[in-house]
Amino acid sequence: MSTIRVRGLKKSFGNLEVLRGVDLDIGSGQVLCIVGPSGSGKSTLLRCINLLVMPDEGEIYLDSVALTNPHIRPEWVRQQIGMVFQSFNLFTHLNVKRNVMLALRHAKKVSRAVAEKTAVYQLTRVGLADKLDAFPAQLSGGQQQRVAIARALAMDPKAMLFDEPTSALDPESIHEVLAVMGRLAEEGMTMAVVTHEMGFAKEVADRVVFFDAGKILEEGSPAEIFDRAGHERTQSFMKKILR
Amino acid sequence: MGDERDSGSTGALPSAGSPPVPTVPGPAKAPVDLSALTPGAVRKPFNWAAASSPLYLGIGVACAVGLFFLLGALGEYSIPFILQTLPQGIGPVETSLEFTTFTFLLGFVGALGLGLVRAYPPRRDPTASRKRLRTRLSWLWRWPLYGFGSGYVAAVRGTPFLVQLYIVYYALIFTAPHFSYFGWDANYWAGFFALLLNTTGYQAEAIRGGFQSVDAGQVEGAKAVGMGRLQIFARITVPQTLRLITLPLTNEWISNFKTATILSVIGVFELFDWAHTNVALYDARPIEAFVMLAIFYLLVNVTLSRVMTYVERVRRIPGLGTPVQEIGMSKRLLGVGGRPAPKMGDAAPDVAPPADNPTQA
Repeated sequence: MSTIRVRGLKKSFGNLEVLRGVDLDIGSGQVLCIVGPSGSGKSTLLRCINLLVMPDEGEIYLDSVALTNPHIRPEWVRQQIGMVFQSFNLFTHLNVKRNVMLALRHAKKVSRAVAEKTAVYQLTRVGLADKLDAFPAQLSGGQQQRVAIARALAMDPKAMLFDEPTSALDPESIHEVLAVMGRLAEEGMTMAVVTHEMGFAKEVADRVVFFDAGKILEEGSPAEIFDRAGHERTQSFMKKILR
Repeated sequence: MGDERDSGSTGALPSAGSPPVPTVPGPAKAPVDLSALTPGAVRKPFNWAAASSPLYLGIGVACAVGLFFLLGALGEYSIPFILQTLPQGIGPVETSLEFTTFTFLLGFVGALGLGLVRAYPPRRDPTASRKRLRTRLSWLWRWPLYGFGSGYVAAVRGTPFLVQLYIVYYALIFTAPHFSYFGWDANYWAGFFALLLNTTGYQAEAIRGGFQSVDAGQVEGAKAVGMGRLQIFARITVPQTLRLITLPLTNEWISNFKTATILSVIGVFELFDWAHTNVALYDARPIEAFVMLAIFYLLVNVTLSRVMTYVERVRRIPGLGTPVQEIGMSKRLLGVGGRPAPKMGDAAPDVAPPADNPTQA
């Protein structure tokens, strides 16, 4: 697995400064959890890392490759770094198997047979081998999110980004999605997870960063951030969500 | 069909004159205090507004057919003459259908490009300096293209078809008076081109709407797995758009079919010209002529729209677009037979209504 380094990242939308100089390191096989109030720029940070949003200033490195170099194809970057969204974003008009196969077939140019095998394998890993022919709208939220994870994993990414993957789910579904993510972490995937699931962060994360107003306010082990936060702002936030 | 819900009385329940709860004889039916509910919570006994649309179609067709025969019986026009002359219209209706369908299909190809240009207006990109030269310079061709597309659509939608037709007609007659191919003379071709230009503009708007109503999350999901812009367009945007615009495009075909009547003014012998020249003037039967015309147009348009609604329903993909009522083909076409239309209370069959549900009383 790969390392991700972020240096001096800045992004504005019009007059709104969303990211105001972010430095971040995710080691190989590390799980980083990003917590913070809404609107603090967590999602934008993740989107910048796989170039869904082009940063205004600053650099992002995957291992030693500067992703912000104009000569690097964003499509290549996104094949290296998988992403899972809060709203799943599965292709509505394709069934589950073809959702997973599509990018393999057309972005990676893999043969149909291999793509199909990979799709079935990844869907089996997330426990959805019996849903291959279902359409996304026929699945529960948790199942849809697991399909989305399988779709990202099928591209054989070197790192994974999770943007509030459980925020749109009911408690039962949250558990099944977190279980899949936990297993992925155990297998040594490099992961950056924006989440409010403190249980997951405490159990799985190697490091936690607290994000506020476009900057990293505090950074440390889960215990340090959740229980012994140095900053007043962090403390008051933790008090609210850990209640 | 308008609002299916009872938007009627906002007055307090129980309504005057009737007892709040019909006293059902028999045991174990606890009376429900309806006055405790918010006004408007309880459905009225029979709700005309919630009746099925095929019922109204059936009533409408029955009224129209009845009126047709009534007026015939009153001597307004001669029904035997209509039945006798109707077959003569088959040739002209074919001409009309040819004009409509050929211009529609050819226009669709152009409208795909035009709709694409209009759907994604060029924007200033503050991060352009971090992108490839080609992307940085794309405004050079995107702005003119967008300007042309918008101007074209505005021109087509902002002027009457009659005016467009005369412009094309005289332009062609003056520049190439002997323009004649496939057995069509210059005036036919002028009509063809005018109709083509017109339907292209309108279809482009329908297609633009389709492109823009594809959920941004779909494109984002495809980007996130590393698909390129063209791949996303071909594999995600277009397939979803085609399903979303089936009915708007059906509308446009029908509109195109009706607009084709205007070609009669430049001497194209299509359905309207047949009815007007041959029947209304030559046979001196104007009322019969235009009643027949109405019959032809209704037959084609109602059938087509009913079939397309059916096609859209059976080709529907769960979660894409708005679900339509589950109605069988015979019911959709004729308004009778088939499965009964679902009542509103049946919408969620997996949730059993509570035993003392007041709305079921």
